Amino acid sequence: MSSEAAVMDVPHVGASTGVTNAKLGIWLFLASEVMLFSTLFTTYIVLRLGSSSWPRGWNVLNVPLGTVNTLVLITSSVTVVMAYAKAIERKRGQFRLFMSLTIALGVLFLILKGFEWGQHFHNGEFPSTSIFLAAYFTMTGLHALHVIGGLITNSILLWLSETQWDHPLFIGRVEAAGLYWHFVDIVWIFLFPALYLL
Amino acid sequence: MTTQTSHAAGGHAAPNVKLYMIIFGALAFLTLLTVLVSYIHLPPGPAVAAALGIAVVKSSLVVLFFMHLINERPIIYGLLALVAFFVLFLYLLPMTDTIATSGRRPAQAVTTAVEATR
Repeated sequence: MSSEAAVMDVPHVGASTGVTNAKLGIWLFLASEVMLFSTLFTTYIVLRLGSSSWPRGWNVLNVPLGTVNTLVLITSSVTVVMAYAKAIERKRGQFRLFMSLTIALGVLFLILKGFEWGQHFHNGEFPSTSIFLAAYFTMTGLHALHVIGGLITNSILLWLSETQWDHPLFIGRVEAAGLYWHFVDIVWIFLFPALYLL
Repeated sequence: MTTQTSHAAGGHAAPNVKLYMIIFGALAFLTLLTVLVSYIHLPPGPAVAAALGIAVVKSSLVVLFFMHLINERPIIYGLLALVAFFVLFLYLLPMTDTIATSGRRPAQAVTTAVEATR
């Protein structure tokens, strides 16, 4: 039997698409998310090009902290894909370890981001202070909301791994959650240089 | 260990742990590189090109290998091509307007836009 035919034999893989419903659904959702963040990036570019002056990120934001946060999120991308690998290999203990690490790194990202925001507020810098800060708080705030959404999803999967480890759809759910988490990482990959370095 | 060129059972992407570690190293290196490049204080054009170029490479690595797009089904490629088409318009239309009205005061640009609709 060819691998193509083997895939089609699995009940929850669409016969016409060749992918699971979960995977197709999450990619469709990510497509809408791409449009959402693209709108924000377009707005950022138009505002920046239309402004007579624009601060350099180095002078306004905490670049070392932003760099650490970037490395934290990249590491969490590795741990979530490792959790997926362990789910495929049916190693529940290691899946739980890597998913827990992913959640911990996501929480660390939010703590560092919260510390950074706290510094701005302490210095009297708010979204109303300037167009740059309005863009910064809007874009990083929306991204942080997405991180929180990912943390909730990953936590639910960690909890479900106790009771639904052998559920036929469990791996698909882990894969979909992983795809979402990687998307959150990609958004930050563009946010970091746009806001902090340029 | 399975390879990146096949699907695991159930239509799921087959994991490749060794490749994940290599990509992780590349992403960490590129993150430090983009920060170091920003220290050089390049002119705006090259600075944007360098930062955006590195970000595109980093995101491509994540999409291709962590999200397994390198070995995905045609329907996913088709979906992403459609997204890319609309994203292109989303960026180009405001850019065209911004470039067309650059050098004018906002009031002049608005007046021109209103007159154009008459």
